Amino acid sequence: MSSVQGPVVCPSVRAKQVGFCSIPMIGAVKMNVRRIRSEFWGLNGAKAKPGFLSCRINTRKYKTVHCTFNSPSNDSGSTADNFNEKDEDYVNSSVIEAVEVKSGADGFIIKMRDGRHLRCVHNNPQGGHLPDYAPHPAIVLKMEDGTGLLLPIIVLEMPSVLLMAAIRNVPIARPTLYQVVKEMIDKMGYEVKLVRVTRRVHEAYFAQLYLTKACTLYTPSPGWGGTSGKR
Amino acid sequence: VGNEAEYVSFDLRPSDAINIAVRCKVPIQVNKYLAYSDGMRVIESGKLSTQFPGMDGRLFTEMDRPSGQPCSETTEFNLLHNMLKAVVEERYKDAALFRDQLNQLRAGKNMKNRYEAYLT
Repeated sequence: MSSVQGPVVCPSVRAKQVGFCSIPMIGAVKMNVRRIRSEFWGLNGAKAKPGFLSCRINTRKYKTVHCTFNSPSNDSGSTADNFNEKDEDYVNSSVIEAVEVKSGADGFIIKMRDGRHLRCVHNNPQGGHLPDYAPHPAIVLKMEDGTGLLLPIIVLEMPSVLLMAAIRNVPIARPTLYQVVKEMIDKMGYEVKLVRVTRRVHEAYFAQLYLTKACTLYTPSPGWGGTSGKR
Repeated sequence: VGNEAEYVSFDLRPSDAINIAVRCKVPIQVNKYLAYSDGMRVIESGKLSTQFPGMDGRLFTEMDRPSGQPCSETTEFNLLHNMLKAVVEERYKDAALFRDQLNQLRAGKNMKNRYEAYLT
């Protein structure tokens, strides 16, 4: 039985913090929208903006010392939590071919695609007893850090079916929402780097999609914005 | 020059994020504390032996009366029966004919099952 530890937030050297924390984009909603918009058109912020962003990151970093795990975000109006961005807090996982999950008198049952049933128990005994519910379509992630933990996430039926089709490389006649989003990301010159399941609020999980700019062949000039030039 | 180390992050539903990750073939990471607090451990794996009583009742009611529709099982059984009877009566040409029809019927049934499995 693995012991559950709370997160320890220790402030370290200021320069190191700024250097490390400048990778993710942290800030207010308006700042995010503005920066995302400018990024899409190929423009980077002015010279003053990185310093300003660093100040915001620094301030936010110090604020998190007083937060506990799963606490609401300090930023008003934003329910997403951005302070827990360290790489060592995340575990690589893979998708297993689960069809549906249910909780009943037999315990927690995961039905696999090939007809097998996995009976599971909760990893955290203090988490309380799970309520009984009918079978639901779910996406189950398996942790790859050696513990073999499974994290079931109950989703709608269509995403679950499309995920099974994607895993099995089944060609679907009409393009799905995810193919359209993937092509949009490619067209705009970005590429997907990472997906993280970050936290849970009551009964809903949150996830984040990380993109980086893929093309660095041109130097954008100050008057370049407004037109979508060639790649 | 654009900064290659700059990330842009979006908040998504886990179902959409995981679907995009699988299609783009990028890693999926889960928060360690979230996995510990909400994760499950497998204690038993195999076929579920308990049966659902509703299923049994429905099966019985379905099998109680003939539906009057031509079904593939009846066709398959008739072909098999005719083939075996022809073999006993030493009409080997007819037996080979029935065998080919039976194989065609079974191949068509397999294709149909595969298509139905794809739809679900």
